[in-house]
Amino acid sequence: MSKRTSYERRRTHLRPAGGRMLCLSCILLLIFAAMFGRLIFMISVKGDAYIETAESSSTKSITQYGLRGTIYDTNMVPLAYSRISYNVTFYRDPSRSSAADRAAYTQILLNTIRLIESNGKTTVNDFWMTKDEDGNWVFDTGSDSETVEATRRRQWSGNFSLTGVSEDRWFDTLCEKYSIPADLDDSMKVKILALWQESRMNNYNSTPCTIAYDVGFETVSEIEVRSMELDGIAITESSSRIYPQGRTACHIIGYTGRITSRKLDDFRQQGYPNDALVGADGVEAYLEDQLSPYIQYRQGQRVVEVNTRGKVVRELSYTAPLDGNSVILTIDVNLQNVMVDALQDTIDDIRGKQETAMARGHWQRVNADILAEYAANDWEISLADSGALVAMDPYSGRVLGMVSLPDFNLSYFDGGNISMGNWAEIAAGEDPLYNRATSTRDAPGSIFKLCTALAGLSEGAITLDERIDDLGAFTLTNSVNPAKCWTSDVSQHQNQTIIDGVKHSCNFFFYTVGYRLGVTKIYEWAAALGLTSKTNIELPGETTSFVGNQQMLYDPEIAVARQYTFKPQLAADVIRNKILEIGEERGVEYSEDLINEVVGKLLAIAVSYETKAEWNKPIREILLYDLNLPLSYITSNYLGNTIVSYLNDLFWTPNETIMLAIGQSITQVSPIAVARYVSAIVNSGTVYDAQLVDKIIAPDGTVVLDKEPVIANVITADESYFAAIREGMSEVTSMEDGGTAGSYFEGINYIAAKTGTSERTELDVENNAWMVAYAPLEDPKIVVVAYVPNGYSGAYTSNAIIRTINYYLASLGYTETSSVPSEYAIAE
Amino acid sequence: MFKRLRRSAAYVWENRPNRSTLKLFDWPLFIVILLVSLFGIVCIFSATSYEVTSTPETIMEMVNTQSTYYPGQQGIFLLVALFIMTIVAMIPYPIYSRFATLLYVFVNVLLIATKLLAAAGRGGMNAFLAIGNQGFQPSELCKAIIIICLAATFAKRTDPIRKLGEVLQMAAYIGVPTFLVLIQPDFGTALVYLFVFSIMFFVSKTNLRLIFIIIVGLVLIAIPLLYYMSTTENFRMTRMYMWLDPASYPDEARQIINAQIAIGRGGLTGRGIVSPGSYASLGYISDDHTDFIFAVVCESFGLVGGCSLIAAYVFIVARLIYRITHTESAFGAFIITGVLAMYLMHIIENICMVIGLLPVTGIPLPFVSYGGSNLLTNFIGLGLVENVIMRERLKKVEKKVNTPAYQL
Repeated sequence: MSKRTSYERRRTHLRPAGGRMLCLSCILLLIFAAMFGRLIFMISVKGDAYIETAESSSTKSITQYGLRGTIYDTNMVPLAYSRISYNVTFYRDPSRSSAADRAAYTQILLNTIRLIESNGKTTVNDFWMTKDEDGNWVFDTGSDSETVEATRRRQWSGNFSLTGVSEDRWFDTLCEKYSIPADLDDSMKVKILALWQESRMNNYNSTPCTIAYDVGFETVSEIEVRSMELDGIAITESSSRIYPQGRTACHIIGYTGRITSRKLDDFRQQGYPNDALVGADGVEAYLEDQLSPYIQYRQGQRVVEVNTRGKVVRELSYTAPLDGNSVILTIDVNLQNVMVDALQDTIDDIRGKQETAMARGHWQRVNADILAEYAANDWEISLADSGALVAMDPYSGRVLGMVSLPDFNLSYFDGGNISMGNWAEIAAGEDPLYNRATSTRDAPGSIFKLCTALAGLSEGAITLDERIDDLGAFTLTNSVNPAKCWTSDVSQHQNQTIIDGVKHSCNFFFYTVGYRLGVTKIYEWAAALGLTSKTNIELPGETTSFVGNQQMLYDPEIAVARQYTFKPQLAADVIRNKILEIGEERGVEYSEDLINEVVGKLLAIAVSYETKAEWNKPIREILLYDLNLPLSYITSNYLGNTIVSYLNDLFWTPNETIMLAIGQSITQVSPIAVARYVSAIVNSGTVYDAQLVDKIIAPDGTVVLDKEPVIANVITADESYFAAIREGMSEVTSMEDGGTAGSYFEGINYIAAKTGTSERTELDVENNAWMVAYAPLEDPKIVVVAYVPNGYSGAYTSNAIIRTINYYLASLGYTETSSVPSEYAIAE
Repeated sequence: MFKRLRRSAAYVWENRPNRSTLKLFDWPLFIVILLVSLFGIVCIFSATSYEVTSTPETIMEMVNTQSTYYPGQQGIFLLVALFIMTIVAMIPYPIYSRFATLLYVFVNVLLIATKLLAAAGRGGMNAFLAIGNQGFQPSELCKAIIIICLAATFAKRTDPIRKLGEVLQMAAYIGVPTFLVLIQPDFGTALVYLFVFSIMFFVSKTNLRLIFIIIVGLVLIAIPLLYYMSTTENFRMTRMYMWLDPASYPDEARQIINAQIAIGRGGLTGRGIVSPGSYASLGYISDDHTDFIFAVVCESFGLVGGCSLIAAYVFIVARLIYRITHTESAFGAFIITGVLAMYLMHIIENICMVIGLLPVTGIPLPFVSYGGSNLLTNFIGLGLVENVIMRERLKKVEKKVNTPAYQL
């Protein structure tokens, strides 16, 4: 029996009251009910929303890219391909930032550098401090721009927490901060600091930074094996673009590069990452959509689960990426090589001929006046140093080979990055990146006569039987200073049929034909033959050829600055200066708008009347009423005549028409356009689009596109007309018949050709050389166009043509038996 | 002094529990709490698991591949707590009231010592004293002692509090230890002290008008305080804001947002204790083995698990309330009231903060959260409750035995 304490005396003491307990119980009941309710609400009502949020925060999708498609030649020789490469990355765990952690990372980086270097590769080694002559470490990012340098200095010192430390202490401070062993030599210290810099300058996006590109497989396996020890070091897969063919077909293949800022938005919309490599030129650029692995639907995706530190825990799903499509081109690497050598030799040969010619006393005497003018103006005489050679299948428009010189070594672009040194080499050359076969246009000269001939025959301006004598001066369009044929011995150009006209390339003959045709007909036929439109070759930057007429000379519908030739601009400029001069003389200030209006009206006069005789009245009216000039002033200063003389160049005269007929005038054509024009003559009237792409193949081998020849136009003209022109062309190469290129084709009778030598200046050595050819005569297989700017004479390019054709025919199995003329070709 | 101690020791010996007293032990309450504690160990295991790519096939595999450090520690804590609880339950509780003043002094000295000696730990709090290699949190133990002190103080009274002066006297009594905890600073524990006091204050039939006046007074003090807090950079204010609108504070409220996402992902039956992609294993919720364990409970065992745990707590609370009303001893009743208040504060605040009903305060979930000090304190509380229950029942049994049959 226990003793009762005073506290246990009941009732007298205060104790929890029943009412208050009840009250408390009720409140608790409500609270627990609220808890149950909330929990049920969270799980049953909001559960799905939570799960969705959870998936977006704890999972990460990593986009996967396949390989860029391969570009093959017609024999499946790879011209450009991508292969998988391995990069080494370094990731610093942001939560590990103590001095001990830094020291550990430095040791890891040192070990990694040694590992990579022992396998013959190098790590990223761009550190922004260098030792100056006095042995002091100075900040230097190698940028020429002051502002860039200053911004980098600020960011860099900020990221390295060096603000407040003087620059001469920076290097030592960093070595100390990152516990870089003192016994290392400076170059190794710099290598380690370069990697730390790479990491620190990428701080903001907390993603691994690449510290070595394209390491070998030994390095990959070694790093995997030592992964426990090399904390933070990992391997990522990437791809490298390889161009195995060096200079061959460089302009056709093109190259890849980073997206330019101008095109960034376009590419981003298609799903490209910012650092994607895209085609920058050639087929690489033109078929970007086919080749690229970055197109949205080709991208793969890896969805992974990450923990709070961003470490990948497991893979949730994986969609394999698709590689880009591969492209098979119509060109043949071997033919390309033959063509590039042939063209180079031809250019060298022409240059030799030019130098020999210029060394002659006779040449110096004849051209003494012109040379004096060149010397006075400090002009250089342009000699052959570039050119283009195009080979085409006349029955399909397929490009068999296409060469532009000078060229460049495409392997410099391997990996998508070109070194500064290699880039400097390319930049120092004469525009080696420029494709002269598709992007240049120039006066065609006599190769245009094939067009004039076809137009003349078809339009009835001349018949197959009609004979025309070269009378020397062609006085019908200009009696004062009549045009003449190129020959000094007109007796050779007598009694010529159309075939003889082509063979002799007789200017007088084609003046006559052209005069009879008129500019409109010639233009129509040139257009029909594809000389006024693009060939639609699958390359970027193709230029549009054009053929002269009044509209091309000056089209009032188009702004002066955007005319086909520079002539309207020149005329506009002299008129403008004249008006300003008048204003100054008379003390009147004409407003800019008024001057523009007057210039426009005056230029329009050149194209508004049939004859120049009608110009005076409107010119005078404009001067009188628009510029408010007194009649006496106009007449005393011969203003009317002055303006007429300015406008002369914009007026299409009959004399321009006959010049057009022989391929001079303002006409400009590109080698690729010429190739299909000649093909149309050879195949009797079908104008094909130029075709470089044979097939496009998906990664799984299915043919996505098997490109058929595209017919741009079909000319309906009598077969006999084409035959006559071809007959003329075959005689061009014939010594016996006295063709213009006969001497260069001695012993070769399976090639038909047409030379073209268009005058650029008064110096004959600066003439442009053209030559078009096809072979064999029966059942032609190849059309070749040679173009050498400043090539002296068209016939000088014969060798390039012959070598190209010989190789191609031999590859087709034709046996060359040039000693027996009648059996030049034996079909298999 | 010695005389008093000797008398007390003799009293304790005379009233030592025997077999029949142990029969009077409240087994249902104890078993429910023990089950909740064991469940807590499982949840700690889940919360501290590593990320896995697939659910282990067997329990053995699970245990072998996962860390058992925290659940193991908690198991040891549980054994120690059970032992201490037994001791606390065996010493007849009336003896505690004799030493109430001494205990009160001890509490304050301990808290001052803690403030002076403890090294700054988590969150800049100096709340932990080192005992061996274990940290011990004196403010936790003080909760139990303060319950005894407050119970003694209230039980000594014969009349309810009616005057403001009496209130101030009481407020000063609880104010000293509360202040000492606040400066640690440990806002959560200070709230528990105040809550325990408030519940006793309320149930002791304190004049309702007085309570109303006090509430009005507190509100009048709180308004300028809140205004001051809202104009200065204050993390407690931020916690208020992020409770009201977590989405606007994605960084600060990351813990609470992720905790709620984890609850939502649990679904009806949960993802299991070691499941691939669980927030518990991916480390998305910091403190998920201590203060935010309820999120792990729901993620691992779903709505069923969460509701069962709350139901267990409801049972415990209901049992304690029932016992309060059936305890004749004023001191005993107030002890149970204090323990009830302590449990309530922890349960309600912890669960409500995790499910977004209350702002975040660092308070563990009783019997489930990882932590030795808290588990020990809760079992000391249970020991006190069982102590009272056993002796109340004993009195009834004795009364029955000592009452002559004719008086029945």
